[in-house]
Amino acid sequence: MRDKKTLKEFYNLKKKKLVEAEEVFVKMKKLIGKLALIAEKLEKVEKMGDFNNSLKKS
Amino acid sequence: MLFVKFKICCFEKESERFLIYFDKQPDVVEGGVEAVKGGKEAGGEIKRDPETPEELLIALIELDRKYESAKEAVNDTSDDIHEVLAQFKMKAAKFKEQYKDDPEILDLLETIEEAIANLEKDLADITREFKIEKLRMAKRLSSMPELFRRFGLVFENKQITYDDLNQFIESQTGESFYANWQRLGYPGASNEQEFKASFDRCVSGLFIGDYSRELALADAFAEEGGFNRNPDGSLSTKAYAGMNMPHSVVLEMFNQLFSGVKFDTNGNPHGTGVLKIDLGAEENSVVVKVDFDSKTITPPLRIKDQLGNEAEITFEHLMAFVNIYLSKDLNGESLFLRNGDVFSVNLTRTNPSAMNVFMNTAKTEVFFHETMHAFYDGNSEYKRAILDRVKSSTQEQRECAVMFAACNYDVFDPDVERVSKDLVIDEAYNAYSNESRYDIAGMKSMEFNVGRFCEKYNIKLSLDDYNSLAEFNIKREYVEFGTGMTEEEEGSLRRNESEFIHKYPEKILKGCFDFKLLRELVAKQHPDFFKRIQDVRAKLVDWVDAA
Repeated sequence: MRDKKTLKEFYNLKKKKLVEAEEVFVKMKKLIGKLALIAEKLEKVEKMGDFNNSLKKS
Repeated sequence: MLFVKFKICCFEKESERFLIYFDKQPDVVEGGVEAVKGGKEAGGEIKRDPETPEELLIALIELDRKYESAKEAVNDTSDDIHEVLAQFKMKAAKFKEQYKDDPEILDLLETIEEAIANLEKDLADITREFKIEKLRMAKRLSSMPELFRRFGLVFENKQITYDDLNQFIESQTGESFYANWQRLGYPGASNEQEFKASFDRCVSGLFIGDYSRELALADAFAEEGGFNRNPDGSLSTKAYAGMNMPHSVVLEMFNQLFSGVKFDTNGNPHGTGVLKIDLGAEENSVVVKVDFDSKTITPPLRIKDQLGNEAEITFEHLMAFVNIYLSKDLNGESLFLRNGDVFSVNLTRTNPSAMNVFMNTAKTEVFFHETMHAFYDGNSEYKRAILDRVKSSTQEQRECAVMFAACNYDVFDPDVERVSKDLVIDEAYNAYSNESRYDIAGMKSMEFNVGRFCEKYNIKLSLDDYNSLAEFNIKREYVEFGTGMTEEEEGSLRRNESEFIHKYPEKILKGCFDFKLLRELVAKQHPDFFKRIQDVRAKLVDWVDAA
């Protein structure tokens, strides 16, 4: 019985860790959202640069 | 699979626009996390909590698989984010230079740089959490095989049926045991009858449990370079996932260890036994003394895993291994017989066989890997299949295989009796195997890394021509966790990959498993040594052309 409890405890612990791993993954997904915002800003920089350059040329 | 896996297809330039893709690749999300919680409401695969040891074991294996999958998803995503961030930083730096006279753009770039720095910090925090968790998890997992054993869930030839084995493999891979064999490309095992005919002939026992410490001495005896000498005189070895131990090798070890040792009427040994252990090509053998009266081993022996966790290999561990060969099985037969201090293989056993397979993990790929080694030694049909594979290989692949085998044996020393053509081909199986982790292009294995080869043969390689980890077919995780990095080294890697590579090339080599790259580097930077590799290829591998 004692051994069975230990294995059961180990099972519960591992289950908990798996849920925690998913939480880490969710946090990473949020970072991907932030990456997209940075990409947008970089794109804006490029557009501004192009626009300013065209002004200079004209 | 539990998790939705994200793959970022990076930051690409297309028609002067930057695009970022988030390619969602859901594997299977049956019941999500709830599925593994096991509640009735979950609707997942597990309808109730497992109760019996067998159910718990199967559930644990499944959880382990899912956790590994989750870990991989996290690590892959982390790598991808790092890669995108590096490109963003380069782009921002380029814009900063390009628009250095435009204050409006410079302001915007400043906010971008701030956002990148924050994101890097967030990523580091998350990774750190996960890293700590990984360390904790590794320590806990190390007790898992011990649990298998305590529950009597030891898979032995005589204790499990082929049905059990089939179910075990199917639970992990989703396909039958025999289908797996077929997929590996080996003939004659399409059903239980065919497989049993081969397996029983080769292997007397399949042991799953924590045998790493028991096996360490036997392994160090059989293969050279298994142990490293520590400054305090003690010896350390690494943990292995699995091992095949031919009876002939173990017998040689027994006869050396027990030579001159006296046995009392109860069969207990007295006196001192010795084992000569070869530390590698550049070092002399050391003598390990085993005192059977004081139950001590000198010098002390330790086992160390990839994360630096250490444990002592005690006299009791050694004797546990010895007892596997001397204790009687269900037929009342032992593997070895003793006459005085001389041992022999028991040839009158009901099931004569060539070896045992030990696994310190319950991973399917380890089982297949070790069993294939066993088949090479014990079965001409499978040996033929491996020889055919080597036959169709290129000279380049063969040279890679020589270097692979050289990690464990000094194939360059003609006086080393243990080095034979069969040994090199069997080791080369690791390289020629179609297991993905031993793909010839990558030859991935934590043990057989490029650094191990260079260290053993005292070869210095310059990596000055390289500037990113991507050029080494290398996983950042292997470098971070597999090479024992200091904080300073970690900082360097985080700041600038190019700087890290030039400053700490040995760390890259330790985390690199690409023997094709190793071959190229040795050929270019050490042509004399490369000639030796080619000579060994001609002598110990090319013979298969005529076989």
